[in-house]
Amino acid sequence: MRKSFKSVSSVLVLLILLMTLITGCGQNNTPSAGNQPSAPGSSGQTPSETSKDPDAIDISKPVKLTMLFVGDKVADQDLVYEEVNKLAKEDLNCTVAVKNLSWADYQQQYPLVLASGEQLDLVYAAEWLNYFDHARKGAFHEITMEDIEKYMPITYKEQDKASFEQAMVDGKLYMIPNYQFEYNVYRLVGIRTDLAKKYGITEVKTIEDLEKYCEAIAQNEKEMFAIAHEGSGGNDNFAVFFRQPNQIYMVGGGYTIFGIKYVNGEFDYENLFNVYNTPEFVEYAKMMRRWAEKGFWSKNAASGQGKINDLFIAGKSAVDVWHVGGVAQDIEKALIDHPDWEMDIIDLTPEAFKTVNKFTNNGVAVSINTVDFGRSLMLLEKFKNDQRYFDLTCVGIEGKHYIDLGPNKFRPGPDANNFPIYGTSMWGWISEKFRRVSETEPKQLRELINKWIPNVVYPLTDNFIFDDSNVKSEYAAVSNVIKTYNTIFDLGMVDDVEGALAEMRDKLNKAGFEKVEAEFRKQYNEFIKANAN
Amino acid sequence: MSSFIRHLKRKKVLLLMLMPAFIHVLIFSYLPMAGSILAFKQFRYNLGIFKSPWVGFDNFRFFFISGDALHVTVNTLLYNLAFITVNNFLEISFAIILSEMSGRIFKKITQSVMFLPYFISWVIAGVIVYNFFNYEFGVFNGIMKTLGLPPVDVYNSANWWRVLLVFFSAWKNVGYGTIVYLSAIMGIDHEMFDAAEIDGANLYQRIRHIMLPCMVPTMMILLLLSVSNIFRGDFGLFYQLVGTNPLVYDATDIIDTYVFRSLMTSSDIGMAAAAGLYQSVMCFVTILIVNKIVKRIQSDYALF
Amino acid sequence: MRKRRKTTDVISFNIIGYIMLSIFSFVCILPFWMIIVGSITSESYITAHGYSIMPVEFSTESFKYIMNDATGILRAYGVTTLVTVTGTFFGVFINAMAAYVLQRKDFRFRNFFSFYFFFTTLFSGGLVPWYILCVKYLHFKDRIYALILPGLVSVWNMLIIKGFLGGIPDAVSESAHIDGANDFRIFIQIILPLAKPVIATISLFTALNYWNDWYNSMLFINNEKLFMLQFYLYKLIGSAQGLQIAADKAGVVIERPPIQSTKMAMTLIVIGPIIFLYPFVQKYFVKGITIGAIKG
Repeated sequence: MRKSFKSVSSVLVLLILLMTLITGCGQNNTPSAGNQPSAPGSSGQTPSETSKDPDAIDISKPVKLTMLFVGDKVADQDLVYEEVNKLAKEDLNCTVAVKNLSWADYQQQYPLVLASGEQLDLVYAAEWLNYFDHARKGAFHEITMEDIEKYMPITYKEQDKASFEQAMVDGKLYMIPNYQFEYNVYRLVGIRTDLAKKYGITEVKTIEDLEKYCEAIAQNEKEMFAIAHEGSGGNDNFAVFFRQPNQIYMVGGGYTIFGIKYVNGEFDYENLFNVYNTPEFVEYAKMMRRWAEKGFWSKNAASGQGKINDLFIAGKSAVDVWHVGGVAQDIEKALIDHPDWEMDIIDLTPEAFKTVNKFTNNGVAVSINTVDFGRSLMLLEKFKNDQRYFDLTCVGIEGKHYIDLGPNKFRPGPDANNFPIYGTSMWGWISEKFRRVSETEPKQLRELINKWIPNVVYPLTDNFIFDDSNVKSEYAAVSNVIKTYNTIFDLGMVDDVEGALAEMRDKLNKAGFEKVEAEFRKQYNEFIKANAN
Repeated sequence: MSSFIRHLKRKKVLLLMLMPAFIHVLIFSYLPMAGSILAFKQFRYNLGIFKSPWVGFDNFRFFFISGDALHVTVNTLLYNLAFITVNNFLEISFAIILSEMSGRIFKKITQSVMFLPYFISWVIAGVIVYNFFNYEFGVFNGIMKTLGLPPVDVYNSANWWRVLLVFFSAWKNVGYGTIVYLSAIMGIDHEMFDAAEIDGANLYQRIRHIMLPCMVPTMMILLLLSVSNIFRGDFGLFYQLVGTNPLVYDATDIIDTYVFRSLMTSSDIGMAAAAGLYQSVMCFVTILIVNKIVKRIQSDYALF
Repeated sequence: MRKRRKTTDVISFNIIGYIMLSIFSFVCILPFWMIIVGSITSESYITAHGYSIMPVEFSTESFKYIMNDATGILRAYGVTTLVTVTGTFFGVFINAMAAYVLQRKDFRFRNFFSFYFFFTTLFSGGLVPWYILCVKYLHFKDRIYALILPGLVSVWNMLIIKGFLGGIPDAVSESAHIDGANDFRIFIQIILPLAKPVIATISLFTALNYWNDWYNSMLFINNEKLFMLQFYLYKLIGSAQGLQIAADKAGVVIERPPIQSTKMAMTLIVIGPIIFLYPFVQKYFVKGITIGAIKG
């Protein structure tokens, strides 16, 4: 028996080795880091062009490009891209086919598709899709400023170089960021002023006011929660009740641990600190515990699957939390179902600094498996800077999906739901130049934003992304701990806040936090030295 | 080796009959298996699986570094043992009941109904469970209130979860497994059964002495197949039902959920492969031991 | 149907049986019932009050939303049926054939091959290598065989069948051998009919696996005309969620389609045919396999 097993296992090992050998030999079509692939006959990417006319780019060879979108295909996507391809065939002798990744599993699918080596040309990329990580691991084709100048001349002229700097990895660029000014970072609250009046609360302007409002709700309205957080909704608590009031800006991307303070009109870059080690955080955690005990949200909030926005609209939450566009929109929606409600958007910390979204929040990269680097960039240029392409891809077909009301304006058309504006991944190339605003957009939204714009700040640290390659094991373990305790503190799940903090510090140390911090500070200090003027 | 080939030549037809499955498994299981070296590599997209650099055991470190590895491994093991025991007990019981009970229509209906949970995804089940058990508005506490009893915080209770997880695993899987045992019973020679009845054995005796022993081969196969997955958990069950509730992680965290949370920030392909390889190796060692034990007791039942 | 004397053991057994089955069936059907109720409840009620046992605010908006695309759904049904029938037929056949060989005691290296198959349930390269193999080398993009091929062989099912076939006495095969039949004929004409219960069982499992599969559609298919049912329906929800994300980005008030109730309706649409077909399949779990008759 033992003998046959030995022979069995040895044959098996042999088989596996054989497989490795065979498939190993077959794996020679993923290009190595050095050479950039370029289809024969198409324009290469060396700036020294030796063709007859140095300015003309050869588009004589028809090319079929593939574009990767994150998000399910919307109903009229094929229709719209048929129109796009008509234009693209004429202008650039190319067509594009869209591949959609489902929302169901995009986090796993995205690296999977990148790793498979299948043909991809344009790829939606974003910081929240681990763009920096994938770029470091060689998923994307490098884009030099000369490339941009050559293939995307308008972008080169008009798009602020600062946006490209944000997307750089070790000094090299791997994606073209979008060029819009979003104010989605800052969190505001929406409240039911009709309920506030009912309980004698005349104004809600500060966090203390909000607490009084929520107390009144918790004591008197038994069918709703004051702040009906569910699932990871507690994150918003961290923003609204800790970061914003204390003027803390988180640094480094990824799982947030370190921040800097905004003091007297500027960022204190020199003093990077661990936000969990501050007295402000203890105060915040205790406040959240107090609120949880008062019943502002469910005891089981961590396990719920709903969204506070839907609950607010349905009348199950007295407070809504989101960015300015979201809260405004929730209020509009609620008014449709409940015209008798009165609601208001409140900025609880109007003196707190406001920032603009990083440009790397949305962008487009070119895969290393592209069949035509130049043509891909040229097509992207069309999407970004040719109004016909922009309108088609972002808003849809005129008359069907939207009604043109003039530059930067529109009204939803009869089939608007079949191609929702800014619906999927075309966020990658949105620019302010052509962006259309719906006539149904809540006015309060524009008013608030216009108030902010003159005071928006641009932290230097937006360009700093932590590279975890040297400490990736520790960082993964540390992130796990941080996530766990974030939920505990944000939703006030334990009574002994200091005890839990001590526990967290202990677990962080076991997970190798010292190494992570040392590496983080090292990279941060280098960055500040190189960039502070 | 030559006797191997000679024997195969003689059994040509049998070999040919084996070939389709053999080739399928070769292509779809063994070829990709070469990719498990990813666990030891720092994957780079531009280099592919085979040219990416080796990093030894580096990819495994994230799992062991916090000292939780043993705990979640033990959790995984214990839950699976509970699932195997409870599920098989119920499946065998129901199979026997369904085969011997009278009331044809009742049996047909219940057999179909038992199958329904299999179709309900854990995502939907999670929502329904939350509706049922949440503290403030759940149906369960509503019932407690009408009975005059204090409400129970099920979601934050580790003990409740230990029971609920076993309960829901049974809920989803028992309908399916009962059918396997049922068809095992169908294969029993009923002459023996009838003869025993004539000889005066009552139903329980017939079940104990004829039916159960005839089901043992099936039990052994299913048991061994379950053991070969004993360090792998049903991710949906643990993640969707429990949600991300840190207060009960001690009791409800298994390898799959722990790894999932750790790798959420970095979509590192090598580290994910390493976690999978860890589970595979643990399962492999376990099944080798268990199979050997089974072989010693009754070699017919061993899997290989 | 044999008549059973109502002796006390039989009666007590029936009582226990009724109780256990009733409790378990109740537990199984309750969530299912809530799904039915949820699918005909208005979305706003669900968001406000969660799922209930009795329908309160009646609304067919979820089914309307789905039926907007009735042709697509019918086509998905068609694809799914084709894939299920083909996959089940060939899959069960291949698995059963291999299982038969593996339990033939005169096949000397069956332990080696058993281990060969079993090993694959223990170790796997993971998703990335498998995906690369399928997409790059086997050209699985947008092809219907991408939905059928991967699920054809299941070692789990194979080993279960092997266990059952082991219960068939060797004398059966041997006598047929003497009569001059080759192994394949023996398998088809003698073994398969004797193994009806297990074949029915495994066919059911295989068919359900194919019917419920959505992952292969997600991985390999981009053309919605080839989607399997589960995934096709999932996409309806997915695009609804996409609309929410769009709303996030654009600050535009968009009519949000009913998501919760649609998820429920989706489940029903997928389960529907199975529930109707299952009673017909049940008749294969018939008692009285006459192995004894063959013995004679």
